[in-house]
Amino acid sequence: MDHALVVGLHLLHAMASLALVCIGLAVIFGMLRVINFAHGEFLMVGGYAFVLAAGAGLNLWVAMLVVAPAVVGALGFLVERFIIRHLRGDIIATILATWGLSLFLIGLAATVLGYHQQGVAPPFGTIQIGSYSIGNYTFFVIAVAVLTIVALFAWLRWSRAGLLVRGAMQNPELAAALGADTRRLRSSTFVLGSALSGLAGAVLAPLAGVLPEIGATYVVKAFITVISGGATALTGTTLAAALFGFTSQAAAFLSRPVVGEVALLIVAIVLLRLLPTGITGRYFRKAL
Amino acid sequence: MLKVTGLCAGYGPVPVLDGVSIDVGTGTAMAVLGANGMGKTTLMRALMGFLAVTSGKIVLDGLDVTDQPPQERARAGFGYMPQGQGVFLRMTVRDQLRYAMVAKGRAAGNLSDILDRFPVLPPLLDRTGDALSGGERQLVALACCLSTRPGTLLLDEPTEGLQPSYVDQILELLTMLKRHDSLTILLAEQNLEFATALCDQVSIMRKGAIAATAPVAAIRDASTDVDLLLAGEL
Repeated sequence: MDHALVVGLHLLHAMASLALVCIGLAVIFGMLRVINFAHGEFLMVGGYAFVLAAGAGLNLWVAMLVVAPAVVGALGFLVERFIIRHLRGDIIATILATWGLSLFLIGLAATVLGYHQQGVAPPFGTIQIGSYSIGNYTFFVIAVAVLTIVALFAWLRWSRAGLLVRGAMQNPELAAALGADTRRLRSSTFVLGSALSGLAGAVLAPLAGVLPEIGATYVVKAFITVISGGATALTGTTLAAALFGFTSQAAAFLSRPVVGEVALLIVAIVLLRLLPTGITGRYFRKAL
Repeated sequence: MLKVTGLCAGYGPVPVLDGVSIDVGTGTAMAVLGANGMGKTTLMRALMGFLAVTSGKIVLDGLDVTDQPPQERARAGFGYMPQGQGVFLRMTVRDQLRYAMVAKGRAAGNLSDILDRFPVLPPLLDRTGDALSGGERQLVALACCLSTRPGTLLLDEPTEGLQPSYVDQILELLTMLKRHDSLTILLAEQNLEFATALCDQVSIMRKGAIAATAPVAAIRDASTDVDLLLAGEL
């Protein structure tokens, strides 16, 4: 019984972590169709912003929940304003530009902060479940992922800004013809996606640590998950993250972590073979 | 009032519009008739700002909007109903109408106002755009366009794919709005009967230019010539 509970918590944690890693990309790539190859580095910058702010004596929660999203949101604003906007949807140019940005951010972090791993010890201590010990921070990661997804759903579904963003992403020309300022909506959506990536990077930093090249461990999984989610970005990414996080962690339990990574890729390949337009290409078409 | 002078526009290096000049008075309607490929849709897209204008001037209610982006033109008073897919495919009709109400930054109004004008819409409110028939999409697109409370409507073949009873409803509604709300209308059409029933003036467009303009009464008396003009044979 205790073992089952602990395994269940680890599975939930794996799903929540993957959802957090993907949520910013779900907004930037899933909704805006901007292929941001620097997504992993946005998480890395979020992680560093948190670790450095906390190390400088700032309250841990302010550093994690305010500073990191704000720093990466500001970075996203600059990237959208000075790079993405000028590429006008050219896919190849966007890939090259964001790949270059990714290399620049890695180089910058390595030069300024060094190649060694930095981190903050997970707060909250541990809880004993039978003979097993589990970090309370696991519950916090799950809670942040759930709250972030619910808040994003609510914002898109019920707020006026969310409604305007949905239309501008679906059909920018029609949105503009109705009077919506699509350029500003795209810019603010990019900033939102960036800030969410910053939040994810900070929340995961106490568990994964931060180093300049950590983005590489996030970016591939994130793209696979968002693409497998399909056209309806938020619902699709949430479902794909749940499926892949579960599969990967279950396989890791049954064998070892590297098998978990392989299982994730196999499930993604099979899923995209069966549903080439992703989960929401066929199901949940009315969702957000 | 819409005044267009010497408008030239095209797709990249390919010119389509060749010095189009149009004058539509407040509360009046003008139809631009022409066969496929004569430049009607290009004219509408250029007026709305989706195509760069190479020369000419677009003045809407005294305001030069030639260099304005589409959303600024919408905010200046243009309402645009594009040909075909003028709806959001993955959004419910209810949300599309809300969208049109708030897109210009105004507070959301009451849906019942627009639903009263389109009795066919209430049963469709929870359907997404991709679950609507072609005719239903046309009606939703027009309802959204009117929900933005425009002063000047640009309608690109609004009757395409519509059953006759819907065409009659739209005609009645637009005629009422023109008379009572002083709505100005520029209509690109191939449906001569609808165009002459709604409009005060008719222009014939051929090869990107206005070939002739006449009051609608004159057109009604000379329908044979109009047919030939539309076919590009005069």
